[in-house]
Amino acid sequence: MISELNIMVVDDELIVRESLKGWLEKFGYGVETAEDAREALEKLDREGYDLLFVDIKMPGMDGIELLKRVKEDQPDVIVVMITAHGSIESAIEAMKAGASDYLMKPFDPEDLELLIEKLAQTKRLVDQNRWLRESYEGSSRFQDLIGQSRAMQKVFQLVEDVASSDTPVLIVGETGTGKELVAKAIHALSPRRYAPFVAVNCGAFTETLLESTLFGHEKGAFTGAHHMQKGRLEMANGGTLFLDEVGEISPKMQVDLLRVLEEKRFHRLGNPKPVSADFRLVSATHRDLEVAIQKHGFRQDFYYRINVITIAVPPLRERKEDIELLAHHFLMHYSQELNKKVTAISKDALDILTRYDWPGNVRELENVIERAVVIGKKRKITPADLPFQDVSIPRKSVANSLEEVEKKHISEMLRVCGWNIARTASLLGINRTTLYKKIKKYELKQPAS
Amino acid sequence: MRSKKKIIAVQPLGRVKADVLEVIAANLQAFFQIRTEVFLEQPIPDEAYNAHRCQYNCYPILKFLETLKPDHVIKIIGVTEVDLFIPILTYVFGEAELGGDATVISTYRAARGKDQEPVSLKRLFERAAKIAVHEMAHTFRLPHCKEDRCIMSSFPVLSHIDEKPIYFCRYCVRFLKDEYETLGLQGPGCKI
Repeated sequence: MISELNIMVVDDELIVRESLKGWLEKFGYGVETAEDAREALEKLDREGYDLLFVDIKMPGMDGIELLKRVKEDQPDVIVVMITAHGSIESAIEAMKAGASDYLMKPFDPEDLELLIEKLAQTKRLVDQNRWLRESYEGSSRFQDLIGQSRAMQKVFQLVEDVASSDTPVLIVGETGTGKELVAKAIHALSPRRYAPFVAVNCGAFTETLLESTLFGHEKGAFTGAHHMQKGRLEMANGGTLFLDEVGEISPKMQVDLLRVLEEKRFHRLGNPKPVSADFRLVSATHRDLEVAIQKHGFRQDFYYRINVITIAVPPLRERKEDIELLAHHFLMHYSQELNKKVTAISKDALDILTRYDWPGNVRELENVIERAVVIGKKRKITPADLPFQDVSIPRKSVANSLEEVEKKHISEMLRVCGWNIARTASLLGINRTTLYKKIKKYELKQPAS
Repeated sequence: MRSKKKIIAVQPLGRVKADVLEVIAANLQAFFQIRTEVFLEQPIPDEAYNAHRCQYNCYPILKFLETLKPDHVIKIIGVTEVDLFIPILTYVFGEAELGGDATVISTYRAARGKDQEPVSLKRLFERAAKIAVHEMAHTFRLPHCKEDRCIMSSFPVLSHIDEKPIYFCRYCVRFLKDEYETLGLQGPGCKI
């Protein structure tokens, strides 16, 4: 039978625990017992309870202290205080600390039944309230993007505004801020949503490989071209082409792409016959392309072509109000995916998450929560489950050279990811080979423990 | 085939009106379709008395009843005229553990009206039968029912008992049949 209320009776007297449990079970409620506050907190941490009957006078931590701890960690849990030593003072104290009601042993059967009915109704209201809150929070979700901050609401609005046209969009933002999700949101809201969304990470290819990847090739077009292969430009026909890390494209490729964008057609390698190009271009970069134009020969004409509209995705440290929302989102996602019972984040852990600077942005937060769910033994993520307890990581050290900053940042990311090279590389937005080179260059060593 | 061994025992605890015992036995037999016998009177165990509350604690009585239960008795119901309680409640009309072997009921409050005046025998018989059927059903693992007219809905006050017919709703009949199957008994039928 599915119980409407999951109840825990916390009392040091066995007879009270058992008789109240027996009485409540006859109403079909799921009932657990605990003989002291410590056991109650452990059980509460492992399982979810809707209602606690707590004896005020118990050895060790008393009922009032337990009530305060419960209300601090799980404010939605309904707590009813019980005592045989009732005094108006303790009743007032309990009610002030958040108790829903107060009972004196022994209870009148009719009063107890009415109380349970009232509490079941309260629980329904709490559930309804939570549902409404979650529905409200739903407005902080936009496609797969999450954020209730003003900065993210602006991004959502901009995505909505640009989605319906074919205007090229450049998405800028630090690594891990969710630039690809923004691109996907644009695609999902555009008239091209039923055609493919094709993503190419331009930083992951050499120039020749990128050329063949984008334009495709005919059989025999070059050594090793054993079959005809369609390029990504062709695959994106009718849909959206997303060029990630567009700042990494070589000047030659920029010219080729510029031509495609202007002429709306291109040639597969080894085929003189043009193929029409019908896609919407969305690009992204973590680089400052204006600086790249000045110093690294990034083509200005290509820049203006891809950057008709810019969407700047803010780093996580500039939208700290989204951290709790994102953390809970990832928590729910990974607890379901990994089939774990970790369903809450303690106040202390949340505090650390909020104070942390998140150099790896949302991707780093996702990794931290995934890790905490994997290693978490309890219902709740605590500071011990986080890879960092010290949040005083200096982000803006003024006296360091660029190399020192890079060394420190890579070192910190390696620590955060437990020296998982693939994950660290992904977080840093570089490939593994580059990461190995950097580790060697900066003589970084994995701690023995 | 119903086994001959399986009977319900009605166990008077202290002096109990014979016709009340007969009414309880008849109703239990009719509703549960299990032969019911009235046993000889036994005293209430001393340890059940709580001098502070001037009432009898159900739990020692239930333990005592279990010791009285012969092998061929599937369930035993103690009937008493004293006032009963369980430690968390000021009083009870009866007590049974879900799925337990024994239950105990009292006619102490059932025999009185709002102003403590004695009620008619007919009213007493009705109340005693309803309390007995309700508590006995708990021993067959039936929890309280949300259907107001069902005998398994909760009745913390006497006026609630009087409002109910002796009737199991279809869900409670279903649960009862399931439990009978588990226990290897023939399903209840008759008026249920």
